[in-house]
Amino acid sequence: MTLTDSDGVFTRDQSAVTRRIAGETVIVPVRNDVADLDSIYTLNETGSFVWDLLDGKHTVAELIEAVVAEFEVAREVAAADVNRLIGSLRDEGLLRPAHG
Amino acid sequence: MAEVVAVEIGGIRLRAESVDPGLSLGVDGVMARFSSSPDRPDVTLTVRRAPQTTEVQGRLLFRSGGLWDLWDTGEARLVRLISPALGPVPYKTVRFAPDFRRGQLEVHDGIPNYGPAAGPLNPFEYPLDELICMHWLAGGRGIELHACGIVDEHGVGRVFVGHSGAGKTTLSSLWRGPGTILSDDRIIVRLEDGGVWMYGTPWHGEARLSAQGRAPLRGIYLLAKASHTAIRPVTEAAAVAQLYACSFVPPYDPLAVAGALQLLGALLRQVPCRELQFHRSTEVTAGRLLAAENPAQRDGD
Repeated sequence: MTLTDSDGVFTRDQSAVTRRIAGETVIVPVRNDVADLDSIYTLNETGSFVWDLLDGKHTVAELIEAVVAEFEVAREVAAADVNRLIGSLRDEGLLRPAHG
Repeated sequence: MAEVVAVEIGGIRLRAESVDPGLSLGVDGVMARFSSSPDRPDVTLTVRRAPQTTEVQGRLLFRSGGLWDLWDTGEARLVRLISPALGPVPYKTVRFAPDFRRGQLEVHDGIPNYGPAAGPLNPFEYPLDELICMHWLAGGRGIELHACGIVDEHGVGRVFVGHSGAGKTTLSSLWRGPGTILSDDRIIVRLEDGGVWMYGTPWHGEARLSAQGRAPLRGIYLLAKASHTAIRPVTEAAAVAQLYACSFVPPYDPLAVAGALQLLGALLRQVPCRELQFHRSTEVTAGRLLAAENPAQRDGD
């Protein structure tokens, strides 16, 4: 896992198709090669909450604070979860830095 | 020998007409079970011979990894079919209208052991048949699943969904009792007439089980091999994700992907979906499934 800069701002891959189902989010990247077809992702309620805020406007620190406020969890736990999620989404090409 | 042939797969009527006097059409083998009337087709192909070509003017939409690729030429969708057995140049090319309701199939000359010299040509030869159905269904009309589909003696349909190696063929061989296996590998599911229907396809698996027909779909089972047999609940999101991962949807088209996710959601509101953990030593019957799903409901099986 790569620790994420708390001032970092990220935005979702706009080409991915998402669908919210019973509080969870299914993400399907749009692909044009058979080699990439295995990728499909499901985010739980917390992940879905963060995904909605990955709009290119909120810093990582703001995301962590939002999770703390929404789910009443310890800041350390929220920071670990948010960093892990952002790292995973970046690794899968579903997220990119909003600036540069 | 015919100038016009037609098949019906998943309720989709495909018609092909030779416009080349030197080219006869025919369907044989498993596909012959799906022959139908050529009237009121959903998709129409005209077929003729043409020289081989390698050049395409357009944008690549999808590359299947060996058997076909798809291009957007502006006014049409161009499918090139390629086979390692027939050489690096396409042996067939189809120019489809963007809605895939009409297409011009060109069978290329000069390929040894292929074309008119080898006998009547099956214009729906795999994978073109599956490609057409996948694109036609993509408008929210249905979805093709990587699944074994079984209709029991009461006419009740169930699909058992999983990737290659998940156990579809094994499960087909474990099924006991009267009934019909519509396919041991590919099933088309459609929401129509106020219900959910599963259709057989000519695309079978190792067990080579395939049949024309449809049945009301009453259960969806996500296959998982295990040391015991049990049925487990899955969340709706997990079910949609797993079903999508085992579906055939134009992956380059965001509207098709969104439509498939929406259709799967609608499907799951009407048909229960569970994980079926099974062991190959266990016979599977409708009675056992019902008993496992609802211990209070026993049918003497």
